[in-house]
Amino acid sequence: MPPDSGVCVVLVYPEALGTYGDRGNALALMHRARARQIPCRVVEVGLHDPVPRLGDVYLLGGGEDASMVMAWRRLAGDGALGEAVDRGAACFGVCAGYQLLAEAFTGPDGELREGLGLLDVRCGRLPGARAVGEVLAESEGVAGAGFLTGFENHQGSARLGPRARPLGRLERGTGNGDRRTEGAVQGRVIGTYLHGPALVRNDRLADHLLELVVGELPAFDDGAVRLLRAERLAAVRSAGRPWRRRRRRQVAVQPPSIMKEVPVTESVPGPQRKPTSSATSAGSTSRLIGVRASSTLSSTSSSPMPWLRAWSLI
Amino acid sequence: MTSCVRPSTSSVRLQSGVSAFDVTVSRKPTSPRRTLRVVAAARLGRVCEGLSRGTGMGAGGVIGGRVLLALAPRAPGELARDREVVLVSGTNGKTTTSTYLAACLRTRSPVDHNADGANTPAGMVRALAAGSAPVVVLETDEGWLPWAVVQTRARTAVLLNLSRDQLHRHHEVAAVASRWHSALTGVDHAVANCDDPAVVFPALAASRQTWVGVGVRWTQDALVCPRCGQECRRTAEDWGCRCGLRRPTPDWRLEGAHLVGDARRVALHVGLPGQANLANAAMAVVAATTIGADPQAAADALRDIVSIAGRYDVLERAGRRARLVLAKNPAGWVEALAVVAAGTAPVVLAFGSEGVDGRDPSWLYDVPFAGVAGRPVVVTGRRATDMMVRLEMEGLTDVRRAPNVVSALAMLPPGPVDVVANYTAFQDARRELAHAS
Repeated sequence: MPPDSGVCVVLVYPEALGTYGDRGNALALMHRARARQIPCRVVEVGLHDPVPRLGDVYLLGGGEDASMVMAWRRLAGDGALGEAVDRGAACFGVCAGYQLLAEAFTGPDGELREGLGLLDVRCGRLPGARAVGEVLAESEGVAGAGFLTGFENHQGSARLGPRARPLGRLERGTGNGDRRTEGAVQGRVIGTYLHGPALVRNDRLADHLLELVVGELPAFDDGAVRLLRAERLAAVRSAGRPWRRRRRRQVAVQPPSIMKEVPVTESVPGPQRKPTSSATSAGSTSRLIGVRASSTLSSTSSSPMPWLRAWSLI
Repeated sequence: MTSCVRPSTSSVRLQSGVSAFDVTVSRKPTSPRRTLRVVAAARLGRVCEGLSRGTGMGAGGVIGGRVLLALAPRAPGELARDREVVLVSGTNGKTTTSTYLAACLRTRSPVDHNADGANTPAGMVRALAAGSAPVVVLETDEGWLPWAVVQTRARTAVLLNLSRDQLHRHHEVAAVASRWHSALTGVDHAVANCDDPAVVFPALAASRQTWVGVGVRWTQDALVCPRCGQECRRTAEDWGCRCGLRRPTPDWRLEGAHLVGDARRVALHVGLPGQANLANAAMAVVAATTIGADPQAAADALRDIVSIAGRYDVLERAGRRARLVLAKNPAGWVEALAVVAAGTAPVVLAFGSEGVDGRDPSWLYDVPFAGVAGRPVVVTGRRATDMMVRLEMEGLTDVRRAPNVVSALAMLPPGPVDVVANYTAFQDARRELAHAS
């Protein structure tokens, strides 16, 4: 498409696929297009509206389980996205959006569903642990995109088939769940687990999507975004300093973003949820009064310490 | 054995300048049966509180509660026995509504309340142990509501709203609603916002309900039916799903600044600004009414409260009058920016992403910042760069950055300034401004 005709960005079902600020991806494309004097407009598609067939870049964001299934039903019945990609449009899916673009994905109920088939990827469920945290990956599927930074929060995995390439080589985080790769690229279709929003934090990835539409773009150095990237890359790298990596290897081979998945009632924060009230750690309390000892010995009659024995009796 | 009654520090500021504690009526012990273990554990907890305060490590309330819980795990049940416990929970408005409710209920009896905002088990048990009033109002973190229901055997739960917040910990709003639903089968009475499907579904699990129509400005988490996962359709103020879950007819509804019930019309004169605080006041007055307070007397008790836990406090610094506004998540920011948009003051946006703020700040892009365009804006906080980029994407280019709130104020002309901050940035701002003055 010639640059003067502008770029039409289609934001697909933002009410259902927009749990993690995914509208920001559309804003990033518009911002970077307009910085090059390229007209750009964003069309938001409501859940009951037909998906336009003549868009240039289609964006699908993240969503909760039920929203994802709802969007899947609509998209599968609509058919416009596949037609647009066949016609040459670019497509960028995040998290639930990534899974919807796959050949198949496992729904929240464990049922394997047929995806839109735009990526040669099969998405399953991560065994046990939900992946939550900062991610660092070096771009592999998009030349020149550099290091990719984002925040993941998902239960899904992804297994790439021969027609898809990884979007990035994983350095920190969980990504596709194979400990090596993050996201997928197949022609003009890209899927990733990265929120952030991904196209805000990864400016060259955003430019790549625009270049698929308008051809090569002049350079645009956005100082604020450059600073944000530097901050996030430094943060994720410092979270995986060598001494910490060494410790992880000793304990368990776990990417840093994997957290134990427990019910909300158990995973809620400790009492420092409202930190104005205390700055004392649990450890300091325990050391101070021997809480841990007492909690185990309160049911033990053979305590060697008289005061603990007495405490267990009251 | 009677418990030690000690005054809790109040974070409520009244218009007259006296603290809320000064107007609290004297407490009558009503819970005499406390075991030696709980009494001793509570005393040890208070010793630790004192140590924490004395060494400058914190206010101490939480550490006291943690010690108490560790030494006497069954303390919540024992301390709640024979008392009217009311839990107040939701994503936004918990602190304000529970403070309002405590003020409403004090028109008829003494009330204990976790006024310091510590809303996890340690804070709640500490509030239970701090006094022996017949009524206890507990602000409850939405994730800990099931725990609080089981432990305190509360008869009444006041349910405000549920929306996306700290998704690194809650993962999904629907999951919280589902857990609430399971837990609330143990509650006799739910006083619930009938305009939020994620609240209505769990509230239906309680034995009976009082529905309050206070409206919701944020509807982006109300698309999916929390019961069946199908689409929840919304038309004007009504909503419903094909599975049969639909907006209940409100027993009370908010009409402007009036709370209207079947046979009553109650004027709400709320000292805090914004529609959200009117909604909080309405929920509190209705809850107090169901517990036996007179509605108008309860409403009148809110008139002079102009600041709660620092929210909407106005602090002066070198000629700048900084009004502090707390906003923790997209729904909260939408409400906060509506309050800010009502004026023309320059704005300081302070933003962090510590654990309690939510470690993933992507949700900034759910908040429309266009309302602050056209006025001086300064950003600060540990994630100020994220905020700066967010504003740039909104098209705001004349945004400055400061290392802290005091420096940010210095960049602005003397006069009123609105400081909007999320949780840790808000606490930092309060500390910095208090220290500076």
